[in-house]
Amino acid sequence: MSWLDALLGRSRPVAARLDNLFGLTTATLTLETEFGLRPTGAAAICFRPVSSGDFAQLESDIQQLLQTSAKDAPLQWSTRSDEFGYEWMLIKAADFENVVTTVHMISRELEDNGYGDRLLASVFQFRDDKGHSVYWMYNYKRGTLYPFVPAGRQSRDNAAEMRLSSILGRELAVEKDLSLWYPLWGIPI
Amino acid sequence: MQRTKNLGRDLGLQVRMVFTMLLLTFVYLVFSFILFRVTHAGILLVVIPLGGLFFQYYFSDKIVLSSVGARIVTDREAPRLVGIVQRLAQQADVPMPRVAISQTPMPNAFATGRSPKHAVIVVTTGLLQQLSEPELAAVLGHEMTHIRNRDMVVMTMAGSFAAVAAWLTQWMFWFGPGLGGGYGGRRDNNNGAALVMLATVLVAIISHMLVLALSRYREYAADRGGALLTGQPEQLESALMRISGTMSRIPERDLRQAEPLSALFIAAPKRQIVFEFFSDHPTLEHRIARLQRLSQEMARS
Repeated sequence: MSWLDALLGRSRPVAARLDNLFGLTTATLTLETEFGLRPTGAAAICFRPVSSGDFAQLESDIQQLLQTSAKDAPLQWSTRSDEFGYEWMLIKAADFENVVTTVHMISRELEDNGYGDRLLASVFQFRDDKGHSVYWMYNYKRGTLYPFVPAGRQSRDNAAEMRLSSILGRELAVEKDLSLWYPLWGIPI
Repeated sequence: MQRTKNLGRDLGLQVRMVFTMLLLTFVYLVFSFILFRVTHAGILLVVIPLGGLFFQYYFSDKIVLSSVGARIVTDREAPRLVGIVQRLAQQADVPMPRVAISQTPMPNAFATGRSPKHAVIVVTTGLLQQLSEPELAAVLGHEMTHIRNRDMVVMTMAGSFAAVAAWLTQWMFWFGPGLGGGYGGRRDNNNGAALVMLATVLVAIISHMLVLALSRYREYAADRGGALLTGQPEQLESALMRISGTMSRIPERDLRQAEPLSALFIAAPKRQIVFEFFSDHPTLEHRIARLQRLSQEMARS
């Protein structure tokens, strides 16, 4: 938001940056060797729906796209809305690269149709041998990733998150501003 | 991409904003010219009130929080409220503002703070009780847009010389028009003082009206930005109707208490709006009409 926009009271929508999503596919190796974390193949896109016919049309277009790509590689998906009025598109596939590509495809579709500013975050689930879940969150507005390690109800394991970010910082676009490491409680995956 | 880029702007509104700001600048330039040419004490007369204004602006978050008795809440105390604000901040890519709750039955919300980094969003308990969650999100989106548009800075600057003129008018009322003496002899002095007095009163009136107009335009802009942020203009409409519906039933005392803060309130805390021209918030009908136009724009695309 430039000063001119502010002066004129223009709320220019913030475009979504998708380029750094793919970094996750190469980072899986480090996550596995250093932390014993494996992708579960589950991911989700969280966005704010718009009450317009155009948006409803776009959502059904996305369903079509998913059906087409599910023919090439097995893929499951579902949608649900949360108590904050955001919609979650849940994706599950055996191949992690397929998961990232699908998330990218859906985000791109929203962005191309002018709804890039509706995207809140996308979430990728990893799990260690003991069954603890770790999430990598993608911030669309900044094109950065950050770890989110929930530890019980409304609390998070900051130490684990710092460790993840320092090791992965070399190969991932990790968000440097810690105040932007927003949690999303009750991720439906 | 074309679609939302155009939705963010309202050309007519921007033209009016620019025009108002230009007019204000012109009035202020003329005013300072008169002040500095005619009186010796010009600098002092401007610096004192401007200093006070800057102090008010710089510490706005602290001053406002203590004057309404609002308390900052964490995400543990108010997980839903903070959760909504956090998501909106993330979506708008602004730093997470602090969130405070004020124990007031009157439903209202406002944003303050000198910069987005120091911003606070205050909501009253009345607002939390009376609005549904989508409506609350719409109101918070409106306040988020105030922060994003830096309305605190813009309105402080726009009101700066209006405040100086108002201060001088009061000053002259109490101490007479002798503003530190003019150049040369006695007659010049009297003429100069009369000129300054006339100019000051005129500037006070004209600039006050211009500032009010600008304030109304910023409200429209915040409505629009907030509705685009949440994607649901209709929720903001219903929130506005609900707030204004209950506001008329609120006792007088509460209203007066809230009066000094009206600049960035979601709805002006006034019992009845006499003329829109003299009000810092647009009327409900106008705001709703604009939001409905936005809904149509969104549907048409």
